[in-house]
Amino acid sequence: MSPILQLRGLQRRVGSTEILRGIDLDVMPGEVIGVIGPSGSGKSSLLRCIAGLDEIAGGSVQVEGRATRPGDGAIGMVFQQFNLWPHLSARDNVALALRLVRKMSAAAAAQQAEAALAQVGLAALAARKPAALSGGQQQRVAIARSLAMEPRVLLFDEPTAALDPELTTEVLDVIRNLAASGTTMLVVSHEMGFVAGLAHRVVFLDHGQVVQSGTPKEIFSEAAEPRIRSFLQTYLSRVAWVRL
Amino acid sequence: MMAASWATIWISALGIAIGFSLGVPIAVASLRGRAWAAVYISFFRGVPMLVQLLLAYYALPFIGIDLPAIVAAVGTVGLCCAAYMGEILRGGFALVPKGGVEAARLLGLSPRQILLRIQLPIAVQAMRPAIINEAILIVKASSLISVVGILELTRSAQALASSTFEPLPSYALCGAIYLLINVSLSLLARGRPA
Amino acid sequence: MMQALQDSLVATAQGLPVTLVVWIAAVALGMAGGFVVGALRFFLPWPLALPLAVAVEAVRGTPFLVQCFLLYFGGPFIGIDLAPLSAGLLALSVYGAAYFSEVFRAGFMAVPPGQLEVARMLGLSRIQAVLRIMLPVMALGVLPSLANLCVILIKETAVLSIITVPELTFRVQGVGTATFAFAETMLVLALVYWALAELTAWGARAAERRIERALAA
Repeated sequence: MSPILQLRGLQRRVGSTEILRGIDLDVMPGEVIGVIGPSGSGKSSLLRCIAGLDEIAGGSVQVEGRATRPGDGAIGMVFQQFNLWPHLSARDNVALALRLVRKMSAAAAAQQAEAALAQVGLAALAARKPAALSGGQQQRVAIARSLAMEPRVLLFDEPTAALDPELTTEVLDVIRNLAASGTTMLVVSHEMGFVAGLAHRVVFLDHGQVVQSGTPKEIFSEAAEPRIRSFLQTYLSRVAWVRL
Repeated sequence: MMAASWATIWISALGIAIGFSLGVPIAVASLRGRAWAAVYISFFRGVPMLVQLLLAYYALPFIGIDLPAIVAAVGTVGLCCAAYMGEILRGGFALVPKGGVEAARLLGLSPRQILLRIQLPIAVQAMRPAIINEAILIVKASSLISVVGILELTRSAQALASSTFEPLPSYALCGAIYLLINVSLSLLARGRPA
Repeated sequence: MMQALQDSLVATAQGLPVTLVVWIAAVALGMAGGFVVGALRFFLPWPLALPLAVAVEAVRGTPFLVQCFLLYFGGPFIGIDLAPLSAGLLALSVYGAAYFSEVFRAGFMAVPPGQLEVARMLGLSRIQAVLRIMLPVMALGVLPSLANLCVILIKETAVLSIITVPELTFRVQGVGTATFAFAETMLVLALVYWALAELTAWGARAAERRIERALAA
């Protein structure tokens, strides 16, 4: 089986600062990769470069062997700030791209949008505008919106970081279900317990480089690298209960 | 004078419609730093509407453009309104969350689709009071086209005042009708909740 | 054409001072009046403030031209018989005052209420509080709106030509009708106003920067 996503020597520079210093990564279909690391390590930049939103200084990103551009449907992304469109209802947020990009009829798009919303458990709230939804609900709509376009790879950039603690569970449950159904995902998150329990592989990033990548067990309990250990000290209590 | 009020209303409406439609490309061009947009806005906001009307009505025929008075008048009002609408929309576009535009881009929407379906609705909703305010200003400015002979509300009040030798009631009634139109417009700004 | 241009420049030299005098006077009177009205509307209880509110809305909701006609042609019927220049000045001042009052009223409302409360606790009188506390706090915020109104007023002076005030538009239009050289004369007129508007805007930006620096010091 060949990788669905391939990163070779990915580099990103802003001014004179090196944000990403040559990242290599192969992601297999159906794999869930957790990306962790300290602030400023380049995690968000990594996802944004894969999506094509930030410019790459060197290296390559290929999905199924081909280079991608933002908007060609290969990559979907869920942002920390949800980025729902405030003037459209949940249903219309999900349906808009279906109508304008996939050229579906209004009726077909609405139907597919409702199906996507049902998948994230929000069928009943389809007519509500984002302002009338909680943060967790908004993020779930954002996930439905990306899902509806059936991307090959789904990126999650700190999906629960902007949510109140009691609202993160509903979003994490949705992401867990997606993983179980075989979606290929890269998840950047500070929810260590979640990452440890969900990911097939974990990548530890620091100063724009991959320090180590391996199974959750290898990274969370057996890592020898001092940078990883000191980073994990803060989170260990949340990982302790996960059976690795 | 009632009939002339309708003339004022539809002339203003047409001017506002032209102004808004042209205002969108002007706002976009202005955001991109295009010099022509800056010059256009500077000219139409810097020269008094009266002078613009005189220019259109008296000077255009001299360079070969001979338009009926009403076309020149409405056109001038529309072009002037476009400069103001451009500035207002420019402010509105700045309020569109960048993340929403990025999400749209990633989902595959074309730049034109993003402009019309995402940026414009959000900008208009955000700047609704300013847009209604501009509409009110256009209604008032329409009184100036009486100077180039168009029969609208002010002109008819003038005619009434000179034929009856009663300027006070004529102009007072005229003012009251304008007030009615403008108060209705401003209620439109407050009445509909976001 | 050269003759027409020459005549236009002469007319500009004759009319521009009148325009500027009327403008500056109207700005001064309008700002002063507007400040008082804005302050009254902010501080008075609403039954007393209501007539002021109605007056302001009436002036803002009707065209300036109609107000000029009302004052100049209708005034004599109620004992106000003014020469064009005086009538024009009065009309523009009232028009300006209505708009200025709104700007100042918004400025008052934007001052955090705590500042006024502190002033009262310390024993400052109402007037002292307004002048010493609210005005400086309001100053930078209202400046762009005030500058914008100044530009608007300079453009409205053109309307005064219709009631025969001998300002810029009246003079240059006169040259136009006398020589039939409308293209040249109207163009000169437009360019002069354009230059005036840009100059005023530039001056306002410079003043804003000055005040910003003064407040930051």
